[in-house]
Amino acid sequence: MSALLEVSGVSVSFDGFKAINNLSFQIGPAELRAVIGPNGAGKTTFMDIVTGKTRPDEGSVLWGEKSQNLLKMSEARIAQAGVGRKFQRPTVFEDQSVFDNLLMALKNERGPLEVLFYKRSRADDARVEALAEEIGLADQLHRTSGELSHGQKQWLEIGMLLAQEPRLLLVDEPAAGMTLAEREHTTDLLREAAKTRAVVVVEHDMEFVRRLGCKVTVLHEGSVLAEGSIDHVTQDPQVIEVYLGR
Amino acid sequence: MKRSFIANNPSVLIFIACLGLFTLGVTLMSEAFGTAVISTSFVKTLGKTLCLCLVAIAMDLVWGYCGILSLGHFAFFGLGGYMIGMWLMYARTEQIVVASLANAEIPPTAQEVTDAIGNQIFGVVGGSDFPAIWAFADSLAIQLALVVLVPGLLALVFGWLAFRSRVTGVYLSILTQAMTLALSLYLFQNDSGLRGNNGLSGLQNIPGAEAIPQSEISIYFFWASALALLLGYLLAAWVVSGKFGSVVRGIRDDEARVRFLGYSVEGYKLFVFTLTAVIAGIAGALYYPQAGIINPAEIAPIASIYLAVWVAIGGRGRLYGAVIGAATVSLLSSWFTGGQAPSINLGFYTIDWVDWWLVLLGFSFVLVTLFAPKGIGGLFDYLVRKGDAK
Amino acid sequence: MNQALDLGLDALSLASIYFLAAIGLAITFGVMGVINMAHGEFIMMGAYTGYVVQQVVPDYTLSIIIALPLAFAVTFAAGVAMERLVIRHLYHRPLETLLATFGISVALQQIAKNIFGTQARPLTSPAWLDGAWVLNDVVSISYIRIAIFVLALIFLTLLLFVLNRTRLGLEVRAVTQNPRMAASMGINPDRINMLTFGLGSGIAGIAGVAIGLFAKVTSELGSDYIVQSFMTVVVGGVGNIWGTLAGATLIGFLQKGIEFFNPSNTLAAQTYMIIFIIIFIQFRPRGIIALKGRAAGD
Repeated sequence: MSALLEVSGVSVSFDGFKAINNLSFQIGPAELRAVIGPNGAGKTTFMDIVTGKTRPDEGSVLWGEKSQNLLKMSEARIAQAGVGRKFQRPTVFEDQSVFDNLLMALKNERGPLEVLFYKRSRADDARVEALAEEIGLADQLHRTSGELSHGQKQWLEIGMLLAQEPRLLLVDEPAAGMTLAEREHTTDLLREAAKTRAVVVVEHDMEFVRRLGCKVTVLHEGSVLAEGSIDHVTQDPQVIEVYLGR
Repeated sequence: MKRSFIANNPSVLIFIACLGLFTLGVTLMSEAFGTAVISTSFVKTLGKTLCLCLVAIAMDLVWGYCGILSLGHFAFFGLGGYMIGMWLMYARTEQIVVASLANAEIPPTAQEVTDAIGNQIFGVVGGSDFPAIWAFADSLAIQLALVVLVPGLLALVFGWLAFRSRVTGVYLSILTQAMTLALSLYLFQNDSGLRGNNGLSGLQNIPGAEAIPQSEISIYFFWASALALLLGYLLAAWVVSGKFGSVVRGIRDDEARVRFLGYSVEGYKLFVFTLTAVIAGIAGALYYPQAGIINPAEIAPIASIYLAVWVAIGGRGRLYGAVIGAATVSLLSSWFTGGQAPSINLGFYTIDWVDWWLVLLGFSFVLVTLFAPKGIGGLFDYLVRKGDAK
Repeated sequence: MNQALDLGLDALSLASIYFLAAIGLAITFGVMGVINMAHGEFIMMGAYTGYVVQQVVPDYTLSIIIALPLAFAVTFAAGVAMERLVIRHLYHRPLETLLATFGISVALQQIAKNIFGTQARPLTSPAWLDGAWVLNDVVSISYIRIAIFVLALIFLTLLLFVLNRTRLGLEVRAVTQNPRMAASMGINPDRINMLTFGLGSGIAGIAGVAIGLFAKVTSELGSDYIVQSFMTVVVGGVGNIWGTLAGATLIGFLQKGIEFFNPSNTLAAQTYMIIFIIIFIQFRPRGIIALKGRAAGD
């Protein structure tokens, strides 16, 4: 199986502190993967590198069948190539309506002129409505998204992510601040999404990771410490040492 | 589901109506076409105010909607003025020179005419040769094109450099201010080719229109300014209404998020920055023939900050706010500094508004920023919402 | 050789002037991140303080000795008042701070104009600063420029000491890096912000006395320096006193260098210098001495 994303030998340091140290990581085109690790293990920096926010000092990040080099691309180009990212804090455009938020995310031409002369098609309207249905905001379409509850904003952001139709989803602590029922819904959603695309979930919470039931990568001090099923990694003495030991 | 552009933007309709009534009213009260209730110089003041409203709309677009606090848009405004001023001054001087040489015994050669014009224009800075930038000054069409091209290209190059290297926020403001300062310092030089400190003058005299009295010309310019403001408003309202407006406001609120949605933020910023620079240039080209004179002091960094002040007082992020702010503050300024405002006698000290207006403006600006960040426009919103609630 | 030395000395003294004008800003803008457009007016207030002292105390040496601390006190008070009344409410809204302080700048300038009139006021340096240190026919440097250079050095040392070696400096750095954490450790961020801002403003006042000695004191004195001061801090690298020094040095030497090739035209030199800086920022957006890492971002 050829990998969708292949990160190899990546290192980056901030003021002498090695946030990522010779990290290698692969994920297939339709796979769910959890990335765990203690604070400062480099989880967020890893996502920053893949999405183009941070440039590594060395190493390579290759993408897709044509093995494009993501390090040479801007954030916007990477996103257009099919990498979607959800932040820990829900970030939606609060002074715009739910509809506008979704429409902005909808997979379409992204250039300034195309957007300026963009005319909404019936198909786009239908797509936005379908997405709103899926995330349970169908009757909130014309509300300002700043008025939504915390949970609704999370859903809206996931909806925006789905609207982008990414091939790889990077999700940062999706379960933070959620109730049990909401967590279950989130798990289902991520598992469902992983049937057709790659999903990387960065998480602290072992219980949540266990529920995802997928391959787990443990990061520590900027490199991969262990990889395998949740049971495999939790029995690894090194993992116990750094993760559970303290 | 789909509604027309106007239906989505009721404020546009109200604005058109207000502007139309205002234009009609001023025309009917003017010396040239009406009852002569208001003087020609006041018609010019009003016409200039409309141009300032137009540049304020540009500022609102770039700052209020796109979040770029540019401290350089008055420089673009001034450049537009300089471009049209070059033709006005050249063509008018040419007429005078040709007229004065008409009685010469030997008909002057083309070179002699050019030299005489050069002497007339550049004598004041001790020169007589035409600098290269005046190459097209005899062509109205080319200078009109330059009104758009020069500010547009400057904004394009500057914006490309600045946005490409991700200079944002206050750093960008400082950088645009530096650009403005560089430009005004350059123009202050005597060998800048634009008469240094003296600037370009006599711009109120339109070549070929000597027979038409100023009272009439002032009305024509007033109409042209009103039309430009109308078109600028419509353009701006259209730009910010659809998905483009959505993206641009997204950039203002959370640039990184827009980038991760796959939009090239830099391209959008550059587009808005350049478009608004062009609007500012056009506004300047209409303003300075009504003002009669342009000099480098007009471009000084402080002018661009005043522009931001108008928009902030009017209420940024809403187009009518920019218009209200620019009109209110600039008219109040000319009222106070023109000496018409009554002085206040405190017994031990007399507050003369010519001296104290700027102090009042400065502090009221602090108050607006602190207590009414949405400006006058925010007050409108509040009243409308209160009306709805009843 | 002599010419190069002369040019170097000129550049050095210009660099020290820029450094003096910008050093207060390096604290308020560089360390605290507050854009104070009225910084130039604090410089002006310092210069006028010097002028007023000279009206009362006719002895020039004595008056300068009185004026320096007094200028510090006056602008320190003005800075604290401004921080308490305005800036405090606008932390995290940097663009609005810029505009509000601009309003203050306009008002202060006009007030100065109303009090002192539009014509320039003299601030006379003591006789012992009048001469010049003559090395040979070509190379000479006026004592006043040496004094400014020395003053710049004193400020540099003093600030480095305060920021890096004292309790106040530690608390300042703590508050600017993480105010909530600092607060939970018993530091009062309000007090620290107020003091830091006062310090930066007070230094602007002293710089004003120094600048007033060789420039004419007018209400526009400050606005002549404000843009350059911001550029100095930005070019040098925000958040770092050494950066400001590097920025001032670069800009000073650059401007003198350009003037050397086109001596008749200082305006053009300033124009080219600003263009150079705009291009320079393309390549080092975070300045000469840049902070790296996540903490420095956004």
